Amino acid sequence: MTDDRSDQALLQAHVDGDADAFGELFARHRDRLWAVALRTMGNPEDAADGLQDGMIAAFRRAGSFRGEAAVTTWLHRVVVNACLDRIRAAKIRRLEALPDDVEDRGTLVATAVHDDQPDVAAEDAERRRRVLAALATLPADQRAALVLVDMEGYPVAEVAVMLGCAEGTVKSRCSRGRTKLAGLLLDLHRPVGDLPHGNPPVDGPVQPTVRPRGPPAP
Amino acid sequence: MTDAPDLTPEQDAVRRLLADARHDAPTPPEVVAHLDATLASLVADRGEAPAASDAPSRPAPVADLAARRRRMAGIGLLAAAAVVVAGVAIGQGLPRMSSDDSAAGSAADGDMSTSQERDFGSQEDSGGADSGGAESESGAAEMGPESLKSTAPSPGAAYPTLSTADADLDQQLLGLRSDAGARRNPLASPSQPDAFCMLGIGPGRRLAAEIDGQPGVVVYSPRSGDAQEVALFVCGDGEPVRTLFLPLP
Repeated sequence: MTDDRSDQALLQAHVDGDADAFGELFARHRDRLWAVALRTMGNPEDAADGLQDGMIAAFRRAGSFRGEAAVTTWLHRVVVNACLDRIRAAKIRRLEALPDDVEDRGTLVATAVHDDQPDVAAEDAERRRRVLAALATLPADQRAALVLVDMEGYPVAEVAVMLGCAEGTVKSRCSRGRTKLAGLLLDLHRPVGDLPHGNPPVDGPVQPTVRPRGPPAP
Repeated sequence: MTDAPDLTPEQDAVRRLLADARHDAPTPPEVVAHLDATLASLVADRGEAPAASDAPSRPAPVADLAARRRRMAGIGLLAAAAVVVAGVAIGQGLPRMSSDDSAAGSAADGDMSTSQERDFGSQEDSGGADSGGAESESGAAEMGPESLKSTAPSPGAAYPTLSTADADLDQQLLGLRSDAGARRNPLASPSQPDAFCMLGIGPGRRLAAEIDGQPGVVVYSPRSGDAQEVALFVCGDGEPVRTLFLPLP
C-alpha cells in the first residue's frame, strides 16, 4: 500500500513519532540514493555501507531539516556526505580494486539490453568499465560532483546544496574532473576519422636495445 | 536538465559517456533487506527510549543496547554536567584573554566573533560550504541558525558547536585542532571530557563540543601515517557519530 503523504509530511511524521514514516520516505528515494552511493563509492559493498550510514544519519537528524530545500536534496546530501566520509576514512584505493568491482548490476543491465547483439553488448560493457575506472581515479569531491551532475542529471544549484558548497565550486569540480576524464578516455570520444589512440604509427624498423651477441671484436 | 554552458567538445563527450554509465537498476534485494533490518533496529531503539528514561534504575543490559539506552538516559544528567563544563571552559578562557596582548577590554569578544565569521567566509570562498540553504540542510537546525555553524571557542564560549552533516566539518575541525591543543593544558587530564561524557573512548586530544545540538567530545587521535583521525562522539554513546581524517599540518 502506498502512502500519499508528501516527502515533507512523511519526514515531519517521523519526527513526530510515526514509526513507519521514515521507512516509507526512504524507500521512495532508495534507488536513486543507491545509484549515487554506488557510483560515488565505486563498488556495491562500500556503497551499501555508505547508504546505510546515510540512512542512519538521516533517521537521527530528521529534526534538523528545516524545509528550505527538497527532502530528496537533503537525503542526497546526507548520503553523499556519509559516502565521502567513508572514502576519506578508508582511503579506498579505487584504482587497485576496479577490475573486479566495476562489474556491478548497472553494467549487467546495460549488457542485457543487447542480448541479441553480443558484440554491441560487449562494447557497451567495456565502455562502461572504462568510464567507471577513469571516474574512480578522480578525487572524491570531483567524483561526487560528476556523479550528481553528469550521471544523475541534477542541476548544479541543487548539487551545490547537496554537497554543501557554492555553485561555482561544483562547476569547477566538474570541469576539472571532465578534463581529466577526457584525457583518460580519449579513444572513447574521439570522432571517427581521427588518429586512433594507442601506439604511434611505425616509421621505421625497431632498433634493438641490446647489442647483438657475437664474438668479441678483435 | 543540467547546466552545460560552454563545454568543450571533449568535455561534452565525457558528459555523454558519464550519462551512459548511469546506474539505472534498482537497489539489490540483499541491500534492501539489510537497510530494512537496520531501520527496524532504529525504530525499535527509538521506541525503547522513553522506557529507558522512565526507569533509569533498571540494571543496564549488555551489548550495544546498553550504550544506546545510556545515551538516552544520560541526556538529563548531561544537561547538568554541561553547566560544570561550561564553568571550566570559562575558567580556562579567562587567562587566555588576559594573556592576549592584542585583546583589550570588552571589545575583544565582539572583535573575535567578527573575525571568526570572516574566517568562515573566506573558507567558503575558497571552495568550502555554501551559505544559507546548504547549511540549512545539515546538522542540528532545530537548535537555531547559530548552531549550524561550527564556532571556534571564543574566550567566553563554553565550547564550539558542530554539525556532523556540515560539508565544511573537516575545515572546521582543522581550525579547532590547534585550539584543542591549547586547551589541553587547562583540561590537562584527558579524563575530564571522558568523565563529562561517560565515554570509554581511546587516546587523543579531546575537545568538548556541542555536536548536532547535544553535548559531545571531539577526539583528535594520535597522528599516524599521513593523516590524523578525528572522531566526534555524542555524550553517552561510545560509537562516533562521525569520523574524518585530517591532513597533518
